[in-house]
Amino acid sequence: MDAFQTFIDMGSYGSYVWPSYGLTVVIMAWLVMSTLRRLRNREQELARRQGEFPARRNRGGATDTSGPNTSEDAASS
Amino acid sequence: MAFDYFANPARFLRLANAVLPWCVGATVILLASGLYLGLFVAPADYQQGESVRIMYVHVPAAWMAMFVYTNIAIASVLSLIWRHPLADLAASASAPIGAAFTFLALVTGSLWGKPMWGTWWVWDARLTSVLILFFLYLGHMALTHAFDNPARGAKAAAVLALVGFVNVPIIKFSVDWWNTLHQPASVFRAGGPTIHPDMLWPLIAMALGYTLFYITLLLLRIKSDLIGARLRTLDSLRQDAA
Repeated sequence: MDAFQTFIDMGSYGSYVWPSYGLTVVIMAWLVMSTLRRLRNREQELARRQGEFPARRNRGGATDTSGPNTSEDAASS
Repeated sequence: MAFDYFANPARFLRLANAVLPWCVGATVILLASGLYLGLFVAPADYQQGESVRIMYVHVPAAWMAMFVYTNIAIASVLSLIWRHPLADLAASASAPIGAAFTFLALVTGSLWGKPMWGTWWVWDARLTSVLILFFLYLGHMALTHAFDNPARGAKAAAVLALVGFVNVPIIKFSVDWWNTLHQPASVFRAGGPTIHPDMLWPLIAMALGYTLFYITLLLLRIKSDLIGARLRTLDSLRQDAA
């Protein structure tokens, strides 16, 4: 038996060792992908919305809700 | 206090964006060296043979299961008592990660138990209390999303997290308090580790790698939850304007 075969065989415990490592990789990869997918979706959504309200980015911390929102709506539509 | 300082979401995002590349780099290096040491350098066990290599994925997963739950409990205290604005986000972002690590601990433990104990599962104190931990995570995730008002969901989940925290010391000491097939602690024990350094180092590398992996995902998830909150605000602004 060559070295690679010995390594895969894991002293006859290969059928327990490799599924353990394999499942760990799959679950951790799934965590990474689902986290990144959600972040990307929300970033795209935010960019899209900010496109609808172009003036908002430059408005600083203004909290006035009476005038600006309606005028922005009118300006962008 | 640092807790208050980073309560400001913009400040938190600046810090998160600054540390994220370092967290990713450290996670990759630690996991790669842990896997290399665990699979190629560490010796086989004199009793368990090569099956002992399951330890390098199983034990850190079990540690993370308890560590993440402890973090959720701490975040729950910060949320319920001090109403820290990021605490609820940290708790809800942690729960799925903790549940995944608990699931890994249970399944890899089962895969280790079959060749070593002759059984996939036994209803003893250690295995049963970890299964309960898994259900606590699922309950936390379900409660968080069970209400139309996110704040009420977060509060209910925080109460569950604190009540369920009693399970964490039970898991830790279950192997000392009751008879079990599971072996006792060989790293975090009074009197120091009894495990050989050749096996301890890969274990430490993997455990630190898992921890940084968790921190990386936690920061990314809080970041996307903050964007989610921003989107909800934009929605309500638009409704007000209409």
